[in-house]
Amino acid sequence: MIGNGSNRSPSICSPGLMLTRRTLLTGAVAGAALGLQSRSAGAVLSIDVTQGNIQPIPIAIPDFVGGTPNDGDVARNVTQVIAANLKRSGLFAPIDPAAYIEKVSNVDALPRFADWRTINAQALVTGRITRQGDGRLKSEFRLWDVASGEQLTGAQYFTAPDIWRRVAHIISDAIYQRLTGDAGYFDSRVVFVDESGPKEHRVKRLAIMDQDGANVRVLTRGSDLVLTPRFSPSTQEITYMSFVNNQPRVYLYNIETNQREVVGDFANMSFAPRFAPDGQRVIMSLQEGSNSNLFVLDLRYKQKI
Amino acid sequence: MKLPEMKTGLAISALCHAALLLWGLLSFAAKPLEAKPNDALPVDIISDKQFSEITKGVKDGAKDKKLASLAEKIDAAKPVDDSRAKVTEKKVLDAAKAEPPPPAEPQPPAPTETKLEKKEPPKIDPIAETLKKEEAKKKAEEKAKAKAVQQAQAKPQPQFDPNKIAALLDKREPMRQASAAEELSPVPSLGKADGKAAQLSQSEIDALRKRLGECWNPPAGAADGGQLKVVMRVLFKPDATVATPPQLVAATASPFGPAMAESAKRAILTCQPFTMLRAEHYQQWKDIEITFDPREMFGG
Repeated sequence: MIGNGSNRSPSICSPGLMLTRRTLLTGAVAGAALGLQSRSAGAVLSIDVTQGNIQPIPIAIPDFVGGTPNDGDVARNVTQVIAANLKRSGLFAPIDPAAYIEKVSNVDALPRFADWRTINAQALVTGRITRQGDGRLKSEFRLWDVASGEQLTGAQYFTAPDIWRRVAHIISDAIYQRLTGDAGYFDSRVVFVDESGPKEHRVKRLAIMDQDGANVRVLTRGSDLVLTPRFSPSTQEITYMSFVNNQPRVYLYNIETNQREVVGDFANMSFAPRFAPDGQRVIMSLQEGSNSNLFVLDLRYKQKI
Repeated sequence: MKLPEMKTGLAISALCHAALLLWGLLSFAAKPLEAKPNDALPVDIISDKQFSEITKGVKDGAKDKKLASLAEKIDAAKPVDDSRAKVTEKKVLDAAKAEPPPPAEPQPPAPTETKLEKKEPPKIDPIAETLKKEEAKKKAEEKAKAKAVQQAQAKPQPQFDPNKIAALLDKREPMRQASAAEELSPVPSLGKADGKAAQLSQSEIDALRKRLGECWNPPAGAADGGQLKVVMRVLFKPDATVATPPQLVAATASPFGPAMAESAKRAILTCQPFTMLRAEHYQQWKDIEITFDPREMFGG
């Protein structure tokens, strides 16, 4: 309240707030000063680069270091698998190891990036494989950006010693994903029909292998014809069609347990099975009389839907 | 079979249709498209070597002397002295030259006298003095010209005979040769009216773009590669190397955005130093915002 005869400056609201003209003015000036400071000068020159050079990224993958002298072989094998994976993807060009200038011996130290820039490497992968005392395999790697001298990604994995190939694939996936933005596909398998024999006695067997062609494992004996295998998206199972007793039937094969079971014991022919995206159902063709229709089978209840 | 009631309706309908068509014909008449007046730029395709020769310049050469004469080619020998055509004219000029010096001589004493007389208003005097000098020069030149014209007119003029044009044709060898000098003159260009000499030339910007394009390796595996766009801000040092790591200003939101941004950053860092940027234009190129847009590459 503005009092009569008071020598205070007029307030806008209650005396408690003390929002005098002076405070408003100082506040405004301070705000203006702040506003002026926070504005940054815009760039003077703007240019557009619309043409680039689509090329595989030159990447240097020196041999992984073995943590103990016995691990040298495994380390070298892992490096070879990684280099082969990246090269096969078409988006990377591993540089010939003969051209490397620096010899990487310590993974934890900073590499000499000038040496890697000289050979035009844009990315560098260093790693170490060590067999632990408890039998596990410790695999670690670092991905470096040579131009800026920064580490892009790194990880370490503890696994059983015999799946070093899978570790190599996982490391390749991580490198691929970091540099291209796309999810890697190196840690995956292919199921296929392996054909052999002369034309009259063709032997077809179901087989599974790593995406780079290693670890081929044959799943069926070859006494019956097998066709159109498909992976399940959620479980470690394969569905395929087989001519057991000259009756085409759809089967489900569990990769881990090697068990086989018939999907719906129908008297009629059934073929061309596919998994639903959730892996719970299988769609297939079922012959009824002279007609064949599509049916969806729920695997949980083993009943036609 | 036309019924009588239909006649009026038919007439009205026909009239309206005709009116509509006429209006359409007149209103949709083709207008000539306006062409915006562009700044004309003569375009010539030259090699890098020729370009650098054109813009080379001479460090120890006199500044204005080189630009005075147009040089279209580099000469091997001195320019030909076509003395045959100028034999008679020389005499005329000599006669003319001899005359102006005597009248010019009494002039210098006159301005000095005026200078001595009027010392008090000094400001006006130098201007008046120079004006007087210029006037004296002009008078002398006019006198010389008049003399030369008189001399030329003194020669008997040949009668012009249209039937003998062939005889009148100059049978001499073409005397005009491409003016030559030690170095090529800079090619004159009809530049913009508001152009300034110290600006970054278009060729430097294009060379920079081309160099960045050579080093830039966009991620090929990107599914939506055509839509990805990355803007990077770079600060340069005077020696055309990168002062600070390039900063990302903007990027299209996409799973491949980070990979694209990194490829742009890698391009800038691998390409340095950018030798095509000249030190005298440093103020223009010390802070650049580069937009990497692969739309054209992916056929967008």
